[in-house]
Amino acid sequence: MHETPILFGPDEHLLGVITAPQVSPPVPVGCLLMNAGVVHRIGPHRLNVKVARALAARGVVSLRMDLSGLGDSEPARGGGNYRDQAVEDVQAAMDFLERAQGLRRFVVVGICSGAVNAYWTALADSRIVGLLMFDGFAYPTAKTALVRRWTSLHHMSWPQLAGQAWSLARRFITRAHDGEGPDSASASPKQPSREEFRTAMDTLVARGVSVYLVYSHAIKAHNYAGQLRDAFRGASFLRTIRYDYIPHIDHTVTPIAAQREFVETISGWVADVIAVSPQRAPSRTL
Amino acid sequence: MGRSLGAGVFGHAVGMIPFQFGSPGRRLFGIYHPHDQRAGLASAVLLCNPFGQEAVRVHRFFRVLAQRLSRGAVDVLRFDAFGTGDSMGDDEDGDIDGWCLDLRNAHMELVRRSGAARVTWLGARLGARLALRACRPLDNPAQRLLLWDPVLDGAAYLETLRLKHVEALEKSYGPFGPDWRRRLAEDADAFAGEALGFALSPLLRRQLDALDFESATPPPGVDIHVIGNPTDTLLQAWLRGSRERGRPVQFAPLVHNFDWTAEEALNTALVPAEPLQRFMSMLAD
Repeated sequence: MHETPILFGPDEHLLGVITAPQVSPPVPVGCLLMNAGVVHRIGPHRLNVKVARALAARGVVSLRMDLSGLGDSEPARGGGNYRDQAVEDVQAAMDFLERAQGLRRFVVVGICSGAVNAYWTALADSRIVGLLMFDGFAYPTAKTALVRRWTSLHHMSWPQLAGQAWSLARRFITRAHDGEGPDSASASPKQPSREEFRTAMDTLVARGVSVYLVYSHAIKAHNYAGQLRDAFRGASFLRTIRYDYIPHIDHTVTPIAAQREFVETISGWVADVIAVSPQRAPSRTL
Repeated sequence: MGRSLGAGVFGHAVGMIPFQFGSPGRRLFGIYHPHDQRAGLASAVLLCNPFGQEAVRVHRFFRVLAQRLSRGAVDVLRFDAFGTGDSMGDDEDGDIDGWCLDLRNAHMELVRRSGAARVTWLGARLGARLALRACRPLDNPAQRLLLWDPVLDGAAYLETLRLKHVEALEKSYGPFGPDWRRRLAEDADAFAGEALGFALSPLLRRQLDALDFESATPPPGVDIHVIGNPTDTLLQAWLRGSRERGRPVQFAPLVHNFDWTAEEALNTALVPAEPLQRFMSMLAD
């Protein structure tokens, strides 16, 4: 395995590190890793580095990168919005790997906000053949709210329970007046609606993109196995994609044991996707 | 468009140069920020990272500081020690002696690239303690050390890491998780092998445990400035001890709300204004 820092992009304003296996030639599909939140390209707890090196051991070239204005990358010169710029940045990474490594198909792996950027890129560029979203968009259900309440109540003393009961009663009354549903509390205004997400998943599946949606335990957003199936009951994409809820892994994958499991799971899935990926040469945009 | 930048690639066409240096078995990642050539070179600065999550927390601060200094007359080198950041090695490969060696190699790389006659090391937390220890055996050492909130008591630091690790677990998994607090109180070895998502080898723990207050002796012939909280009693005692040993250290009080050892999910990288201004004024000349 060897690593090479690069500057790339239209103004060479993006910074990344290529991790390549010793084997030559490497497998013909590359992997892209990016920022989670504002943590620079190494990822929370250096997870991107660990995933990149595990992938190299499986013969896969990867590029971990800072998006424009994050980590060590300069802001982009254009005045585009954040989402479009993120897609352009990841596309610039693919362009670079195509020229430097001859790679024309890619798997994109994102954690948290990285999952969101990976999602938009996968929809915009047909070179993406695999999409992994760790703690991406969450769609709480009525059961999510119940699990949250039960978890809280289960650990309370009697005085705390009494206070909670009063608080719940007040909130119930307020919600009834406001018409708020039980599962709308965690919805981000930036995330696609359920219908938009369902359509996007159908589109990716129809294109042959392998999708893996992984969720850690998040008490408000995703807190039980099968939540995704409940949120999209009957959706055809559920028969094709892989979905896992892993309650013993936290959002930033803090315990070392959890990191080992995470790295093994992610790198194994990427290797599987590459093994079944068709040997076609897709066009750049859709 | 794009360039790969291996060791030995020089050039001032871009604002920063990412590269690798060090021996084949110990390749280190660095980013060199060459000064603005219109300003002429005045000095060079080597930035020394703290440990683990603290290094993640300070990354953006060091980047902004490096960028601002290099817009003037100062060359700056940032780097990741072995087993950290983008450098080779796993978490468990990191140890104090090796990191001191990395620091000296980074210093020589900075001198080689910049040609600067005057070099300052700025170390934060454990990076400050490493700087104190590593600057002695060099032929052409740094002329000045700036030590920001240095770790003076390694054993106490390990205890802080254990406590912060449990706080991070509680924050990540919720307060109703396993009995972490009880294990922390009853078992001195609990959570000793990891700290906020970064592994500590038994060797590193032993080395940190041995970093006592008394052994933090200021080296002779180096201008040392400590930047820290004036209410830090351990720091003040160390400053007094240094004076009594005839190795006076200058103290610059700096109170800030930058929580070094925190795991606050993903959106907490900070560039606190006052430390930035303070270090700019100390380093930009």
